[in-house]
Amino acid sequence: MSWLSRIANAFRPGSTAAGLDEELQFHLDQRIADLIRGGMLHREAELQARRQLGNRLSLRESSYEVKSAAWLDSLLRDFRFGLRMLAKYRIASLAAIASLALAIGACTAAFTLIDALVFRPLPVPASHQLITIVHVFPAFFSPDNQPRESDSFSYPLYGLLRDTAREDADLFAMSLHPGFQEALFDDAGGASENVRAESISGRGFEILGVKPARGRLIQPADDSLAGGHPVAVLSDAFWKRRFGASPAAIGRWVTIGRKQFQIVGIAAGPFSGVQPGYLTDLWLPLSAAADPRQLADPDGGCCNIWGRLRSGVEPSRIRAQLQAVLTNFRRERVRINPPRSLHGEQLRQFTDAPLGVRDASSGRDSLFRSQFRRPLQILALICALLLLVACSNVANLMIARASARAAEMALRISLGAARSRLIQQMLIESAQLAAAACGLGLLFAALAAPSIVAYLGTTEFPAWLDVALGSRTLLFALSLSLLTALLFGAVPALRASAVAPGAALKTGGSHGAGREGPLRWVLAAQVGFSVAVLFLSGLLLISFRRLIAVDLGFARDNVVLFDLRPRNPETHRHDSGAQLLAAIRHLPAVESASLSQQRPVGGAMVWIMTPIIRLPGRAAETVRPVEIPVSEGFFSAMGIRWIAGRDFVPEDIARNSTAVIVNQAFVDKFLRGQNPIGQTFDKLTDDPEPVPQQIIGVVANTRFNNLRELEGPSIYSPLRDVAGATLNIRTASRSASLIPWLRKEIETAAPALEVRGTILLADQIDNTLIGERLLALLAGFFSIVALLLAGVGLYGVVNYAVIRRTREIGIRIALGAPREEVVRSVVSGAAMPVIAGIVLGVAGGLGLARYLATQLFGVRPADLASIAAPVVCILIAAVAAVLPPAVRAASADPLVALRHE
Amino acid sequence: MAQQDALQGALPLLVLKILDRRGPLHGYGITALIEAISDQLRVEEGSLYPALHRLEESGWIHAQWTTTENNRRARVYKLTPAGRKQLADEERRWTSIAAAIGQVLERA
Repeated sequence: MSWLSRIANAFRPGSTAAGLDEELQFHLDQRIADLIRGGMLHREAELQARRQLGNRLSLRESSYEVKSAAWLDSLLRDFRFGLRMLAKYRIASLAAIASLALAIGACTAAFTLIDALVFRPLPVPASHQLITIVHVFPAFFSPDNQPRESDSFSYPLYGLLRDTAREDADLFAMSLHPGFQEALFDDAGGASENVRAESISGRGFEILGVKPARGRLIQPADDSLAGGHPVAVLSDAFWKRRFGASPAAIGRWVTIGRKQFQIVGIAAGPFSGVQPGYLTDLWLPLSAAADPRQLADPDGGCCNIWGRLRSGVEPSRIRAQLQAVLTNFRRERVRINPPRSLHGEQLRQFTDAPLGVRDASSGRDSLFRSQFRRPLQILALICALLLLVACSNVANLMIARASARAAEMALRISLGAARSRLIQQMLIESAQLAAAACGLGLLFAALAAPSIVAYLGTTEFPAWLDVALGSRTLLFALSLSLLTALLFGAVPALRASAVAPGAALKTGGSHGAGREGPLRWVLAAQVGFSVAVLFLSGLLLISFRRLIAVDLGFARDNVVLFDLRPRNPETHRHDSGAQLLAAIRHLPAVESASLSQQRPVGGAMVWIMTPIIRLPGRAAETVRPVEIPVSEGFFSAMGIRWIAGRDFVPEDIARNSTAVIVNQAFVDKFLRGQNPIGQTFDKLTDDPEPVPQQIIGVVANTRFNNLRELEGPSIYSPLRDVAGATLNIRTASRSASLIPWLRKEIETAAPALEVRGTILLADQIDNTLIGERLLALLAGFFSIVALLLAGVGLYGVVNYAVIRRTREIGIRIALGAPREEVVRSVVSGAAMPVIAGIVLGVAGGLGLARYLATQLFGVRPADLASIAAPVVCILIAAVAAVLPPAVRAASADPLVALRHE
Repeated sequence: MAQQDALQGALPLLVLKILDRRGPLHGYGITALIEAISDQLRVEEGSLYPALHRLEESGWIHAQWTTTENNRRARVYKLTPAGRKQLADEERRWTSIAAAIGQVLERA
């Protein structure tokens, strides 16, 4: 008999068993007939025949095992039985599946997001060979005095590095930036659109291993400095979105940055650039796209260097070679063109800065990635805790159910069922719960992950992550479900199968032997995990509330920001923007207008100047102040408080004017105890001579660049050129609806300028808080879920205890125990696990809180309020969950209670 | 009892031999034949059917439902070619073991 027929027999056990019975019956009848023929009485013959054949049941069993795959049969039986049990305890099963599905779904969604952002390899062949080169800026370069890794190199330096590494790796250059560029396609009728364009050197696609879906990709011939063929390659996604996958896209022309490129091909399928979070729309040849002067600048930084190691080459080998090239190159550059702002040790730190070879298999550490890595990790932590809450909830349910089924288990054991069969039975029931939850959870994740991605983007920088359900996600969800099934199924299974049949049968169904021990432990764990979720979520919620209410030091309402660019950079003449400001200030509905070099609260997207200063009679300062060029009227327009001195006047715009305004932090840091007005200092730049500066005014500290901290020492200098600056206009009301009109007025008043970006200041501030807002939102949601689960779990356990003790309570009441006494005894049963859970949860939460440190603002984990809030919440939920069964127990009619069962 | 224990290990061999010599038989027929041939051996009926099913599982015998003269359904077993080969092997093994044991009993 084949395996197939054995398996088939397992699915139709009835027919095989009947056949066996018939065969044995035939044997019996033949034997009886023979014995009677031999002279025996019929009754005697029958007895003798049966004795000789032996136990028919066990005979049938052992033949049956031969004839069918018994293990499969028992699995099937248990599977069917499990479904019946789930249906029997319908409400409890649904609650368990729903809570598990939510938790598995949340974990899967968090995993998908983190995987897509951080871990998933780029969709190119042998992505593990990809590397990227970085160098480290010494600490004194940055305002916060921290060394910073950078991946920009000059094009000449790239050439040297590429040639040096040739034996061990293929290097190529890309120009990666998160911003959009204006592109004019020749089929657009003159309307320009924003695209995310990247440039790549000629061999880039070949080295990456990206294939064309249509046409061809950029080739070495396109990337020759002698103005090679200006071509463009579209990403598959952009081709589908912009051109509806039409083959006619190839051959069209697009104008980007005053240069024309012809579309020659589409890059194949899933490859959409090397920056997770950003979708690249099109690629241009590096040398054709870049400004020739920028490209030739040996000290510039327009290239990102990528490459593929030859197989068997260790990154450390090429690192040493490339380090020598970098150091030699910089020493040579410093010798030819000595920087005036760097001397001695600082100069040495710059020339000998370390170079690193980083694994780039999962893409570039883009701004997007570094911005959201930590928030998503925190999200995953909270999801994992939520999963533990859900697991303990289901474990509770399973233990309670197992106790209720102690009699069933005892009966099966005394009928000869092996304990392993009972464990298998319980585990299968767990697996069924987990499988249902896994399916629903995947559905939840498939819906939730894309909406979170959409949430992470802004109109200016839409986010894109591939969070479609892939094999990695499925594998994660399946293993998570399997793990949870074992987690909440194993303990109840072992306990249930260890029943002593005699005792369990004697006490009868719902009165199973003392089984509250594990229930209490699981309950404590569940309360503990819930408290940890509430505690961490509370910290995030409080942080977010504090952050949105923080005093910025300037007014944020009804302000619109317009980024101004010269219409034609080549013919542009310096313009302080005084005329523009005057024209705008005269408009009705405009309360004030001013200019600043950077957008307020620009976050990491703005380039901040940090000059070195030297006060009279002192060495150059090691702390660099931030310099922000602004127009006159900026402080009053932005509502920044004056402390002393005066504002800029039109004469200060002149090149030889020395006037600057500083903030209070500058005074506190460099001019403590002196009258700051009239003080002078030198600004050291790369110009041969130091720039003398004189302080004419002092303003209060603000959070101009970063919501999270008051800025350090800052210098406000007169804004000398409106091109590249941001116009801040405050209107009387409802500024959003005025934007189109204001834009037109600006371009009428200053025809040489165009408005490139427009945003409400309030939105600009909101956009810097996306991670925080997302976390607060999800944390709030998960806290409610955790609280609900804790309540349901507690209710279930107390309710079960009350049902078990119905008789005992009835006797107590009959013997005259006061009702309050009964309530107290029920409540005290639940009190210990709840208190233990709270203590454990707070302790665990305090331990985990350090992972949140970077996200917290204005709140400390050890604050009384941070701890009290979750504890009060869980206590309220506990009371709400425990009181109904307690009151029910106390109001029981003793006669009914005694008759129970 | 001793005979019965000895028979346990040899039961498959006997079944195969009887089916080889006497042609297709049902379970009860096999029991009756063994008992009729050797008055010292008695088949443990409880182990006959599992043994038959194991032989069938191994593909050495083949079972078919047939109808007896008094119109009852009986399951009749028949030797397969593979079973015939197995029988030869088993017989050889049995003879050599019996010979070996006989030698020891003689010379010990």
